[in-house]
Amino acid sequence: MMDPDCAELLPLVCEVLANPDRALPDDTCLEKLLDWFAALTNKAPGLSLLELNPCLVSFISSVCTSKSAEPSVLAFALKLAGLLASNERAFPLLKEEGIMKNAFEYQGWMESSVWEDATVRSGWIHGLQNVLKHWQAMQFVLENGLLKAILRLQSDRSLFVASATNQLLACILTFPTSPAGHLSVKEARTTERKNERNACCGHDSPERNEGAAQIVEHVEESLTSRVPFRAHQSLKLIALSLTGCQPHVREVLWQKTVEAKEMLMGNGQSSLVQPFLEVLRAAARTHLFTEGNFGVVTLMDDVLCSLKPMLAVPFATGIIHLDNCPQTLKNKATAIILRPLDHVAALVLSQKTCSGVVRESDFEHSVWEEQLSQKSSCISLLCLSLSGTSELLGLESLREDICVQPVVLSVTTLLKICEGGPFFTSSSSSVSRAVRNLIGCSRVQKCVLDTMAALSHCPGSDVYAEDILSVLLLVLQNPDTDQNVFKKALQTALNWLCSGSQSRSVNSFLNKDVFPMLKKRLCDVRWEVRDSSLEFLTHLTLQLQEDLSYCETLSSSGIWDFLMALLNDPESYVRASAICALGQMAYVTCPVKGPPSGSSVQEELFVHFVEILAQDTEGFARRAVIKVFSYWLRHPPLQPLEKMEKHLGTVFQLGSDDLDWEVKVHTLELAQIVIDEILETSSQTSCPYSIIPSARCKGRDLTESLRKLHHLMIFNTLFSGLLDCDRPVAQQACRILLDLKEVIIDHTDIVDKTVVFDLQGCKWGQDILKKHFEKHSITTAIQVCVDIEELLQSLDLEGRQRALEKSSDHMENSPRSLMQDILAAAHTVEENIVDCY
Amino acid sequence: MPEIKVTPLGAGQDVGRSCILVSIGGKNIMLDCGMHMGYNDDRRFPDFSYITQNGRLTEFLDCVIISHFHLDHCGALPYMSEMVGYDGPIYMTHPTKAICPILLEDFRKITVDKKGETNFFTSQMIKDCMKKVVPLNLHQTVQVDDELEIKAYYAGHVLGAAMVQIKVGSESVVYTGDYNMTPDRHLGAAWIDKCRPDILISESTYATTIRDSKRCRERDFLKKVHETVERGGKVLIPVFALGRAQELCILLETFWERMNLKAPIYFSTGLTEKANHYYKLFITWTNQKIRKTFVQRNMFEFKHIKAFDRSYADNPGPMVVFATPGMLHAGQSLQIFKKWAGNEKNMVIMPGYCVQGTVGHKLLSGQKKLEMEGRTTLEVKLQVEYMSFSAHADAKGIMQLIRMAEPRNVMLVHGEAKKMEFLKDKIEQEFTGISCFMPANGETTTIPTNPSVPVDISLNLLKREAAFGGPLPDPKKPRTMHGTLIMKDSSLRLVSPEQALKELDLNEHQLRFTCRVQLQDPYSDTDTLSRVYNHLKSVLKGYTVQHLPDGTVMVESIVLKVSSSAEDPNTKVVLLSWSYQDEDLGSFLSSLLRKGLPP
Repeated sequence: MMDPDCAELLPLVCEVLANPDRALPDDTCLEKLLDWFAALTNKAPGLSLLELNPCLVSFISSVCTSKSAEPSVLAFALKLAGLLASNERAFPLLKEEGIMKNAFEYQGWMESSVWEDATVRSGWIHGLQNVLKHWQAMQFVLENGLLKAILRLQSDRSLFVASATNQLLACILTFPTSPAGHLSVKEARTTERKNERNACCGHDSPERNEGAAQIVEHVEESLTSRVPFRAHQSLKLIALSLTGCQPHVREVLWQKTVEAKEMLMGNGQSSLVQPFLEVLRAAARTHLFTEGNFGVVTLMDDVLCSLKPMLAVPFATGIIHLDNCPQTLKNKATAIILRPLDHVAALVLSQKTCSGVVRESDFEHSVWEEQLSQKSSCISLLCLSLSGTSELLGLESLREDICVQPVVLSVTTLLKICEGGPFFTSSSSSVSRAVRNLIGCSRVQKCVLDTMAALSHCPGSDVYAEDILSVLLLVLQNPDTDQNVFKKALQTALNWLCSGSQSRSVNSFLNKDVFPMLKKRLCDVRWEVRDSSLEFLTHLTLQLQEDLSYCETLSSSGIWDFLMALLNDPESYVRASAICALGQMAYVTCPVKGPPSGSSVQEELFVHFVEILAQDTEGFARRAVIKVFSYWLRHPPLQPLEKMEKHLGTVFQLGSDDLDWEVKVHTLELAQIVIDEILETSSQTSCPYSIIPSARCKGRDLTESLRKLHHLMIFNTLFSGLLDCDRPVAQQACRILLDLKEVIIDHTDIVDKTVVFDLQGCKWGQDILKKHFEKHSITTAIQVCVDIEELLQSLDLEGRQRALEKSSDHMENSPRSLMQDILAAAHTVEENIVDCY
Repeated sequence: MPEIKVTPLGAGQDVGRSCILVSIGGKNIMLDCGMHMGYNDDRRFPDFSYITQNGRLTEFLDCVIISHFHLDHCGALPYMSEMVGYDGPIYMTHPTKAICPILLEDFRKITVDKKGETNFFTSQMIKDCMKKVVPLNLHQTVQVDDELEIKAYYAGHVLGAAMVQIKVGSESVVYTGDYNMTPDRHLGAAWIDKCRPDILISESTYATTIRDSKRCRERDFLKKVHETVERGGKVLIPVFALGRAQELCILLETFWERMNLKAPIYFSTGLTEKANHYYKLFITWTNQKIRKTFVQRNMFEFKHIKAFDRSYADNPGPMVVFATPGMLHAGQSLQIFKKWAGNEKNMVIMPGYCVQGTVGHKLLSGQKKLEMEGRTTLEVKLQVEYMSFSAHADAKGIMQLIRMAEPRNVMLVHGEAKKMEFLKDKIEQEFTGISCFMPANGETTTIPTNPSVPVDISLNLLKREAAFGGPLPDPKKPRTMHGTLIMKDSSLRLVSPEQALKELDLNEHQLRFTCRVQLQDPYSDTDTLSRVYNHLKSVLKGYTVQHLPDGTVMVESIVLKVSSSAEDPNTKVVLLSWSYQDEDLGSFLSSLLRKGLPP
């Protein structure tokens, strides 16, 4: 139900909106108002909304009949009328009041100049779409000749109107025959009258049949029209409605499409081919596909062979996803997808065919040859073929149909061609042309790499790991490789390196080839390359951290010094990635190196990272530092990190004073880990030999733990976070404090009152004091030392959590606020100049 | 007929999210990829399903170009590239590439701060998106592929803002993004060369306004801040992370220095350092004055502006604080505002756009009682000022740019429909022959073009042309060449007819042109032929004129025959016939004979 405040404001808002001289505050407010009405009509019965707010009817009526209404307000009124009329009980009332006529009668609009504005046409279409939720609305559309107007808007000059019209027409075609389909079970049961109407409004309804016939006739005309956009739109409509419409309508629509096939396909170049293929794909999801007499499969087969390669490949990619698709068609589609890839590889390798799936007899050879000999079409075709191949490899059911080995050969050959290796110095003109077209082509390279990544997931593919990795290395070693190709090559290499089981050969490959290459790339002039190399190293280490020989290889690789140097990189993204890589590396290589005489690698790094936390000017690096610390604490090494424990207080101090909200959130996460650790240790160590730990023992340890937390500045971090102006920070702090409160209050009788804060020394002290004393109505400012338990109890943490859950803009997003803004803007004399942001 | 198609998905008759699709010479380009801050759901992003329904943007788009770092021009970029999926190239200038992620991060924070925000890009996505960016230098032509090239021009507006020229063959489009035709405190004025594009897509934010000078607005701003500080009040300036904030910092810094003011100025998020870094890095993008004085003193190293700590907000006495976010809807700026709102001595200055619903928006529409958390009401007693410092070209500036670039057509975007209408009329009135368009979002404008097609010319043909004694070919001067056009293997070549026959293995067919000229000559046919022979012999010195025994006269390859008219024996018909090589001579002879024979 509508909030009483809102109900009070609504008439005033309607008045303002209906007045063309009043300004609107923002281009979004009408949309937001509609969102609110949509939510209201979903919740409350539409009739009561109208009865309780008569201003709505008069608003719609006055705007729709006004000669000077703003197009945006008019569109709003039309959509609103549709929303309100979508309720079956509200509809007759609106009809009686003349609202339906005023809003949707087409003739009136045609004569009005506002119809020229696409916003109004769009409002009209969306209004009708909103209303079409019940049979009365359908009858209104059919009886008032609105269908004619809707069909006219199907080829509107505005893409938005044309597309919305198609949606509306599809909605009409797929409208359920039984009106009960649109009502809740409860409504259907309770209204007797409705049942009577059901009988007359079934699919025998003459208006309904007439309407469908009218649409079909229009579609038929459009399909053979000389205006391609008309045919295009009708094909879209068929594709939209084929699956949901009545079987007899579906069959007629299909028949019309088949009849117009020649015209639509043209010479295979027409812009209509694409939407025509969409219709075929839609048909394949209906009974037409499985029932042989409709010839969908035969038509798809014919089309597949006659299409130009650029259209055939994506169409084939669509076919492989179809359920119940005959195997022969699927095989043909697979062959078409693989064809370009196969062609280029076979050409260069002087073989007849690579994949074994492709049979020459299936295709018109010259067309494919021609397309692949021209640079731009060759590149596009290969990319389509590669992305189709990736999809093929992703489909478990189809993996069996294709042999992985030839695909591996094709993609590795293709990547080598792109790299322009001396390997391809054939005297054949077609080979040299193919090579010339593809050398350095990053578009093809990226697609090849995606396919290679997909290959790594195929069962049994690890036997090709060596072949694939050696080609990837060529790309990675080439200093001219495009930065995005480089990144993809690393990601693909990661897939292959981590999917294999032969750790020895992988380690030798890493040691001999990958790490030397990485050292060079870590010094690349492009920050993108340095960063991708670091990300790769981090992920690789994370994946292989259990592999001891990897850890040995890594620690002896000499890469450490390169990473250390990158901590001073000018680009903050790189510094952050270097921190993550070092953090990961220090963690895995520590046990390998063993504790040196002095402090461990991890401890030295810890000190360095604390400096970064204190000094780095960019948030990314500081966020990375805290994240690494969290990782280390979650995965403690064999040797305890003494220095880390000693300096954690500094970390919490720096983290909670940071300017970046994410650093603060991560610091709180770190605090959570430390708290869990300390409290868990205390519960474990207390009287280990007694079955039920004595309360005294427990209390003593808890007090000790709290003291430790206090000493580590964790309470400081939590209270400071609680008052932070950024919601995620405050929310996190509040959650942790609530958990702590629970632990402490549970043991309130046993905790020594020894964890006491001197609030005057804290930055957050004043605010906390205010909240604390508000509760206790103590006005003295002298008492500034507060016990933790007292403090936690006096702060309304539960209340704060509830407030924080609501988000900072929950007030501003309310309908009341929206209406207040509309009213305020209407009374603002001075217009604030529009501006960008 | 070749054509250019332009469809705005955003910025068509509105100042929302800019996103314009251009199809030119078979290439598809997306100009800007902005977001609308006024929505919390998918409506904030352009609807990319209108580009392609299968979501494969990489297959459809050849490139994306971002004009500058404002979020209404680049805010949807990580969503498009990382969530919808686009792997192709994204172009923007170096400063835009550096600053864009800061603003995107800033915006990400705002959304994370809200409740129920899902489907939003992460920090990693912003970084991955930035890795796809290819930086542009000013006036440097970048070849996107073999056919498509782009070139950036200085646009003013904000650091790194650029206008772009997109060219495929001889067809071209210029997109201005947001631009400013008058230099300001730290940036220069937009400039473009006379590139005569087929269409100039121009922003029109201030299409009807002749704006008062920015200096005036600045003076007004300083006066207001000064007055508040003088009476012991506090000034809050909510700003976005980077951009306008730095401009205002320079303004206050210089003013404080000149007036020797002591009240502290704070900047809330440590962004001054970051800004300082970027302005230093991209000093060539600032205006001449800043560049010149940079060696002695860096304008962006502030003496009076210090980092803010939240405890300072309670300090007594005057102060000026720049705080984020700019719309006063969350975070530090809102926290400070709540503390200072109750005192009439204080002031808040809103220097930018605020979306509906935010506290900033409510203040600007004059609301004095604001509902806060827990249904508490905040009474606004402090002074509220709105001051737009945005740097857009006004009507005069837009006309100036049209004069500079001399486009064949103009399209207005990024403005309000009514104001565009006014400017459209003005443009069509002042520049005859220029058509002006102002499509709404989703409406496609099609412009027919007249492209020139590059053709290779054979060396033989060039040599022959040179042998005729004309000047040597000059690429800057158009010149007519005769030859045979061969279209083979997707290349076009102009060669001599002989070479064409040879290459294509064809037999030559001779074509002869004929023409009849009637003369009044009261002699016998033979005598008339002799008179023709004599006349031609005397006129055509240096040509071979022969009287042949078969009753014909031959001039080079041209054959002339005389016969009498059946009706009138005095009327003679001269039949001329010539091959195409002697086309000029044949036409000359026919016109010569039409004048009659000398007595």
